Amino acid sequence: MMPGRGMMPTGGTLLRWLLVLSLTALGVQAIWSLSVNDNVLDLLPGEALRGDIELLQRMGLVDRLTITLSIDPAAAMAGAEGAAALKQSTAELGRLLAASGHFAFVLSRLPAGYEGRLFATLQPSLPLLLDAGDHEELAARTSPQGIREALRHLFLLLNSPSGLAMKEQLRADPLGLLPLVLNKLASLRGSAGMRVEDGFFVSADGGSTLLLAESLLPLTDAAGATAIDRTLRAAAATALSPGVELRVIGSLPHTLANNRIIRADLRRLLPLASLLLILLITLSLRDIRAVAVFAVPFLAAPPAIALAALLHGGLGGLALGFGIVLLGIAVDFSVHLYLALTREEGGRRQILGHLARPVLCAVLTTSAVFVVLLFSEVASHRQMATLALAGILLAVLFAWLLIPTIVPSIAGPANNPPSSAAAVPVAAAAGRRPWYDRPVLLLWGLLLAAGILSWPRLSYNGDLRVLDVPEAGVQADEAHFAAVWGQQQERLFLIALAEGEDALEENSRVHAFLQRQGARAQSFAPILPGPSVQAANLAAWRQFWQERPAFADELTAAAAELGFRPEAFAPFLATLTGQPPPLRLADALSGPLQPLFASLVKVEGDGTVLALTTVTAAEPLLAPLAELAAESGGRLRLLANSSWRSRVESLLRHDIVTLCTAAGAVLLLLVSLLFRRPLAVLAVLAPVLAALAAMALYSLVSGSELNMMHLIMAIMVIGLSVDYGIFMVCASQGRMARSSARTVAICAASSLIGFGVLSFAVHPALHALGVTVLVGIGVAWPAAMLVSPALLRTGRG
Amino acid sequence: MVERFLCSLLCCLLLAGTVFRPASAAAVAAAHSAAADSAAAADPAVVTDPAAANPAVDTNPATAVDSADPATDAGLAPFIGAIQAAADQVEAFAADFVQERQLAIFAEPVLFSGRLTVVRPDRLRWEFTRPIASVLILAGEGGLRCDEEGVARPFSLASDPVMRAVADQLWLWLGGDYQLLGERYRLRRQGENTLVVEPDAAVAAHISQVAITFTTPARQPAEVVISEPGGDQTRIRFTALQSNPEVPASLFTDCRR
Repeated sequence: MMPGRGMMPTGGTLLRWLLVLSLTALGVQAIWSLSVNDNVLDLLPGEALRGDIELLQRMGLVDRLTITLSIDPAAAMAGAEGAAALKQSTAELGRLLAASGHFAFVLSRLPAGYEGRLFATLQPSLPLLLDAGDHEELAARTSPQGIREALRHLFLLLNSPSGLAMKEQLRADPLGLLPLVLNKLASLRGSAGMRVEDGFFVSADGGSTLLLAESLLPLTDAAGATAIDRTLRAAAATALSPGVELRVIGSLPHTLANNRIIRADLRRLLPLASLLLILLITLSLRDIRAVAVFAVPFLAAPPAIALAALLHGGLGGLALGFGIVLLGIAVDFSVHLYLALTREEGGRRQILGHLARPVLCAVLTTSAVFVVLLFSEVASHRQMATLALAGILLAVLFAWLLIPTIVPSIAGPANNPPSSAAAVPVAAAAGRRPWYDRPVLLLWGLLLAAGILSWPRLSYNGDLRVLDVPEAGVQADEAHFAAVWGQQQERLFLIALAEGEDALEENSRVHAFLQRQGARAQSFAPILPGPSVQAANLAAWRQFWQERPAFADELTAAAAELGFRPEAFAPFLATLTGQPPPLRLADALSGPLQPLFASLVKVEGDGTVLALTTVTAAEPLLAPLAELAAESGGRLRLLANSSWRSRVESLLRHDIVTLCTAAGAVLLLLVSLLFRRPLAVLAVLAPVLAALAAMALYSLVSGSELNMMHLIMAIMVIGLSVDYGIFMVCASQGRMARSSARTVAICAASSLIGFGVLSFAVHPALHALGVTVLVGIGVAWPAAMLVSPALLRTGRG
Repeated sequence: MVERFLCSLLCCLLLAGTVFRPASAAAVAAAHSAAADSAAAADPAVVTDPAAANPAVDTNPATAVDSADPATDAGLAPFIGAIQAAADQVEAFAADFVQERQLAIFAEPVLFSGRLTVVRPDRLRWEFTRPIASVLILAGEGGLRCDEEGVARPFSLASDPVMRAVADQLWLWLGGDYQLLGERYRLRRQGENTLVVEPDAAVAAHISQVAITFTTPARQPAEVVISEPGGDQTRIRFTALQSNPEVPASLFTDCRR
C-alpha cells in the first residue's frame, strides 16, 4: 500500500511492529515458566501479621479439612445399624483419603489397641505427670482408710472377669493413681459433645463422626481445592454406606463456593459486557476493526509481568489479576491517539505534537499514583503497582508506536471533518458561557460538600471475610458442625515455637498461665509437660513419699489382711524412689495418641517445634495473653481473631490513609506544576474530586462499609478520572479540541460497561468492584465533560 | 484468564478470614478434644480399670487370630462338632459357679462363688455372691456393673474399650460358637471332654492356655481353667447347670435379683 498523506512509511511500520512484538515475545518467553502463587501472606500488612498466618500455615491449620459424617435422619437406620454404618464409612473414607496421596495426614480413628498402649505408656510416668494439684487426692489415697479402700477395690478387680490378666498392672498401681493422670486428658477436650467409640470420634448423640485431613494442595487455591474436592467426592462415593452423609467445613467449601459463584457471575455478565463493548466501539468509532485499538495496550502485559516478577521475585494472583485490570487504564491513551489521528485537523506530526502534552501529563499523574502505591505495607499492592506502572508506561509506548500505523488503513487519512456534537462542550469553553455552567458548578459543589461531610462517617472493614460469598450450603454445614460438636465460640490460638523440648517448656508455661487465669484450655501440656515441669513434679513426688516413711509398711499390712503376699506390690514401691524415663515429644509422636499429637504439634526439618494451645476467646484473657506472648521473646505467638482483625484493619487503614494523602499531594503537586493556574488545576482535578465524593456519598447512603476491593478499584478510578480532567483541560486550551470529549466519553463508557456490569454480580467482591467503578466513573465522566470546562470558563469570565 | 485471576485473588483474600472462622477453630478444638476422649479413659466412670493395657484382651482379629488346623488333631473336628451341636440346642443356661484364683501375689488361693446366667446371643449376668457381692451384666451394646453396695454403673460397649474387651472374651468362651473359637485360636482336644484353647503369641504373654471341660452327655461347660505364664491359674467350676431355663428379663436390667 502506498502511504497517503499522513500515512506511515511501510518500513517504519514494520520496524515499529517488529520492535513491539519482539518485546512482547520476550515477555512471553520470560513468563512462560512463571508460576503464580496464591500466597495469602502477600495480602497482609506488616511482618507480624504475615508471621501469624505463616504460623497457621506451618501448623497445617489452613489446609485442613474437617469432615463430619452423619447418619441421614431420613435413612431411619436403627441405632446399632446406623452406628456400624457410620464407623465403617468413616474408616473406609479415612483409608481412601490416606491412600490418595493428597493428604499429609488423615485422622479418622485412633489406632487399634491404642487403649492398651496408652495405659502402658502413662503408667511408668506417674511421678512425672502428677502435679501439686494431685497431691491432695494422693494424700487421701495414702491414708490408712484410703489404702484399705483401694486394696479392697483392687482385690475385687483382680477376681472379676475384667481383672483376668491385669495383675502386673495392679501391682504397679495398687492405689489406682493412673486415673488421676487419665483425667488430665480431659484438658484436651474441646467439646463436651464428643466421645471415643472404638477409636472413632463420635458426637454426643452418636449420630456423627469426625474426620480430619490435612491437604498437601493449597485449599485457598481454586485449582488445589477443586482437585481435593474431586478426591473427596470419589472417596465418599465408594466409602459412604447408604444413609450416611458427609459435610465439610474449613477453607475448602469457601474456596469452592467463591469459585462457583464467580464463575456463574462471569458466565452471566461477561457476554453482556462483551456485547455492549462491541456495540459501543461499532457505534462510536463506526469501524469494528477499531477493536484493535483496545487490544494494542495489552501487548504490554507480558513484558510488564516479566519485569514485575523479576523485581519482586515472583507474583501473586491478586497482583497479577488486578495489575492487568489496572493496565486497562492505558486503553484510554490508545483511544485518544486513534481518535486524535482520525478526527483532528492537521498533519500526523502536528496532531501527535498536540497530543504529546496531555498524554504526557496523564501518564505522569497516573504513574505518580502507582509510584506512591509502591510504598504500601502490603506486598501484593507493591507487586500490583509495579506491574501497573510498567504496563502503563509500556502500553503508552506501544500505542504511540502502533496506533499511527493502523489509522490510515482503517480510517483513511487524517483531517476528517470534525464532529460538531463531540466538540460542543470544548467549543463552548472557548465562547460565551452556556446556561448550564452555574447549575453544573452548583451541583458539583454540593456533591463535594456532601462527600466531605460523608467522609468522616465512612467505615472501613478490614475483615477480609466481608468479601466471602455467603452461600447457604456452606453456612448450613458450619451451623451443623457447631450444633453437632458444640463449638459455637471463636477460639484463641497460642503457638509455642522453639527448638526441640524447649517448645514443650513454653507450652507448659502457657498452660499453667491459663490455669491460673481459670481458663479451660485445650492443650497436651498436662500429658506431655516440659522438662522443668517434669523435674518439678518428680521432686514433689519424692518429697511426698519422704514425708510418709511408714507408707510401705502400712500398705503391706493392709494388703496382708486381704491375703496378699508382702512382695505383692514391690513394683509400685520401687517407683516411690526410682527414676522414671523422661517423657519426650518423639515418643508421643510415635505413641498411641500419635494422630492427635500430629494435629497439635509440628516438628520442622530444622528441629523447630510448633505446639498449639487453644482457648475460648474471652475478652479478659486477651490482654494478659498478649503480655505473656510479648514477654516470651518470640517463643509464644498469640493469634486472636478479634485482635488480628483489628490489627489488619488498623494497619490497612493507616496504609490507605498514608498512601491516599501521599497520592493526593503528589497529584496536586504534579497537576499544579503542569497546569500552573489554580482554576486549571481545579478543572483537572474536578473529575477526581467528584468521583471520590460520589463514592463516599454512595457508601454512606447505601450503608455499606468500604473494603479492600473498594480501595483497590478506587485507585483505578482516580487514575482514569484525572486523565479525563487533563484531556478536557488540554482540549479547552486548544489541544485535541475536536476529539477529546468524544474520547473521554468512549473511554468512560467502555469502563462503565466493562466494570459496571459487575455491580450486578452476586459475589460481594465483584459487586464491590463493579459498584466502585460504576459510581466513580459514572460521576467523573460528566464532571470532566461539564465541570472542568465550566471551571475554565469561570476563570476566563 | 480473568476468571482464573479473580478466583485466585478472592481465594487469597478470603483465606485470612477463613482460618479464623469459629468453625475452623472449632474443628481444631474438636481434633484436640478427641485426645480427651482417648480416653474415655479420662473418665473414671467410664474406665475404672486398666485391663485394656494388657494384650490379653486384644480383640483385633488381625493380631489375635492364629488359625488352627483341625486336620492335625484327628479327634478334634468330631469333638467340636459334638459340642457345637449341643451348644446349638441351648439358647440359655444358668449355673452356680466357684472361681478359684491361684495367683503368686496371694498367699492362698482365693475363692469366689456366684451364679452365671447366659441368654444367647448377647445377654449375660456374672454375679459374685461370696465373699464380696458384685454383679456384671452384659445386655446388647450396653451393660451394668454393681458393687457390693448395689450401686449400679451403666456402661456402653461402644465407648468403653475395657468392657468391650471383657465382653468379647466372655462371649468367646460362653457364646457357644466353637467354630468361631477355632477360627481365632489354636484348638486341641485333651482327654475325652476337654477342649484346650491356645492363644497366639500376642496373648500368650498373659494367658498360656484355656481348658474347657464339658459335661457328658449334655456337652455343656463344666469347668474352665485359665493358665497364665509363671504358674498362676484360675479355675471356674460350674454346677447346678440349667439348660434353657426361664430367665426373667429384669435379670439383665437390674443388679438385684
